[in-house]
Amino acid sequence: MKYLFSTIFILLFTVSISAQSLGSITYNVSVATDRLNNYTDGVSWRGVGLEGRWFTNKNISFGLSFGWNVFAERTNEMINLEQGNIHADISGTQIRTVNALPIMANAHYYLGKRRDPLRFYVGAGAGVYYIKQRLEIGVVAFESNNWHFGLAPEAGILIGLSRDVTMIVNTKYNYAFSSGESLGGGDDNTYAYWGINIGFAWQSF
Amino acid sequence: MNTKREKLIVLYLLMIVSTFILYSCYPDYGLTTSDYDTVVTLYDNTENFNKPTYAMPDTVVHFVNEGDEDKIDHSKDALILSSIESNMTKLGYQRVPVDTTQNPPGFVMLVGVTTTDNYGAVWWPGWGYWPGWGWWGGYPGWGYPGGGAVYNYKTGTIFITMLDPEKLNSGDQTFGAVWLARINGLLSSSLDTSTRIKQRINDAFNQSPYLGAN
Repeated sequence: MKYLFSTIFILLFTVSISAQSLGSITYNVSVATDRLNNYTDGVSWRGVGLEGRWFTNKNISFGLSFGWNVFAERTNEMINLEQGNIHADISGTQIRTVNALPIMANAHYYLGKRRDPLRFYVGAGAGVYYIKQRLEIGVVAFESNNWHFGLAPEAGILIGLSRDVTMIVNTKYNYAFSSGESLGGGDDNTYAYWGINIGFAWQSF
Repeated sequence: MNTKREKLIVLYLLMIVSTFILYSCYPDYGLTTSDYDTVVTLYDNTENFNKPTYAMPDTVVHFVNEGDEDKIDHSKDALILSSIESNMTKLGYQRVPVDTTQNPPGFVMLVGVTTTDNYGAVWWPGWGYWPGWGWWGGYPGWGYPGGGAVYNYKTGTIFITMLDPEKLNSGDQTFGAVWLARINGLLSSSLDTSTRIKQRINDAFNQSPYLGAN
């Protein structure tokens, strides 16, 4: 995973210095929804995003993005299980974590002109999510690792700070479709979360 | 933006990203020994737990492999039994002697303990292969020795089983278990082990609100 991260970073850096392109790095805060929100603390303060975009004209770009969000919670919530006549209750300190790593191909549409100090944009990404879910309780740990097909609609703004540096702020809805069994053995392992991302972009014109 | 400045920015970003990679995958919550304690209770939801009496032998069975010497510490046996009795009394159950000549009690409690040694190893690579930071004109590369370590930890488990003498399995003449508590934790030499044992036995009964003679 480290090599993948480095490769993508180098790719994105290259993009940022090539013609009519944009490379960005963002700090990502994420808000879990649905199943993910039930499993971990609702808000992830640990996240990073890297992205490269190539412009085909002044309003449209295509690109690649990579992200990493860590959802984690320490909890003493009781686990209840039932099978036939037997009911089980399990208590103890649990560490619940979900590492979500989206790898997406993106398309974006921008309003205004390229050198405008404020440029709103909308876009969408399609690709895969690698999701690692882990439950630690006592001295044992349970883990499931899955690749998911996913979609990520997005809206954002580019704020020009200087000729070379632009601030980027966007929100993205990440949806990873079910791809098999959940950690608890259920049929649905869908994950979804909102991302609020803020960072810097390097544009070349 | 000049080239040197660009490289420095990239370097700083890489350092931030590397820090994220190294420390964010699994956050450290600073767990203490007692955080590794777990209590599992199971019960038969067709059982009627409203019976007045129970019997419990004054012995904690030590589970060891056949032929192995019993090296499990006996000093906590009395504490385990008294904690169970205290909880059963609070629930309204009356303890009666283990006497097979009398009418059977409502339940029979059996208690056992076992310990397990767990071994593992960690290894970290040296940085001898690292090409260094020469690409931006900095340090020529660091020598950082690799190494490894073997660790082990010992866990202890207490099993409390409640049997219903009326649920006799006619095939092998055994009684059916209607409630089971499995308490597991790290063994340590610290003074709080007795407190932890008592607390976790209390937890087992507290998380079983269906128990009670009344």
